Amino acid sequence: MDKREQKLVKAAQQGDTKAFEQLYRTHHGRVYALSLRLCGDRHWAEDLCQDAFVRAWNKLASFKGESQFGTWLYRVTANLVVSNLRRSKAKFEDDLESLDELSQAESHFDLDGDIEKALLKLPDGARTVLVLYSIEGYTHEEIANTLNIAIGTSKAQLHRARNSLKTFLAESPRSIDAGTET
Amino acid sequence: MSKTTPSLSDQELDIALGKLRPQLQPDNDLWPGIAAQLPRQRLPWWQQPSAIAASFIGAVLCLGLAVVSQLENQQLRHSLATATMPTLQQAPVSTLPVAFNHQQQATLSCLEPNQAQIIEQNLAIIQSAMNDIHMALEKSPNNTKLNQRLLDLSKQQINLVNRANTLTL
Repeated sequence: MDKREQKLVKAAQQGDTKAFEQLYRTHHGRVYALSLRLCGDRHWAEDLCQDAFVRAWNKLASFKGESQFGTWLYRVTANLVVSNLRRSKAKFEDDLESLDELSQAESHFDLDGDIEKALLKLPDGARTVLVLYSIEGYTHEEIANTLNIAIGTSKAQLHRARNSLKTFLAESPRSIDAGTET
Repeated sequence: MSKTTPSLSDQELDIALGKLRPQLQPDNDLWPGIAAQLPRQRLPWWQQPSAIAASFIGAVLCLGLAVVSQLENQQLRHSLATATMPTLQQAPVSTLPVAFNHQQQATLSCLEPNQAQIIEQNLAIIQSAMNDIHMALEKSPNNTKLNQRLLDLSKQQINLVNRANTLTL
């Protein structure tokens, strides 16, 4: 953690909302991206992003600086989004047979890249595991702990998510490279 | 030119996922909504401007009061210490109590309130001791030590009023 961020975190821990706003300006893009990729809904992701920063503010005292502030913040975000998904969907180990129906749905997102669009079409459970594992760098054990599922379930979800994503991309008129260009 | 990716490996897929933009921008600035939800955390009292100002003013007032009080006490002590013995010493013994009372009342009425208060407090202490000795003398009227002590206290009482009298001059 660089010294500027250390100062901002310390000031925020003492109740300085201006310092916390600076932290928000630095990290909100990634927090929002993580929220969106996990929940799959732009408006919901905005609400979750706000809630994540409010939760982070309330838990700031527990941040001891042992890790990067960003890493801690993204963990807070992931846990918040996952718990919200769990409450709203009531289950994570969804059946990927519903994938065909979902894939036919017209995406209302306007994200760049086929992978981004394909991600949003994945069922919640599969998408969550894929985002945490392949994008956020969680291990299967960490995912299992976060989602309260078995490690084997996490691996199975990842396998299914990858296959589904490959199918989407194979049917996509554009290439992977084009899809990931920004 | 379009192409499909039917044989994408897991590794290639992970690489492609890793190339996703790490940050996405929400449509709106979310900070106002966040700021509205932040519970106001009280700053420690020493960091609050009002507390700092109040402490400073309090410290200045206490310091000023202490200085003024010290000066007044010094003046009073100096005046008492340097006072001369006027009329009471020249009064006949038989008229001493009446003269003393008149002298005391006249003196106190001419003093500043804070000075009069100090004198009165000291007179009250002496008078209290004298009352105790009077009570003790009722039981043993010939006790020489008690009589001597009563005499000393009377002298102190007179001397105090006499010196206080000089403050009014």
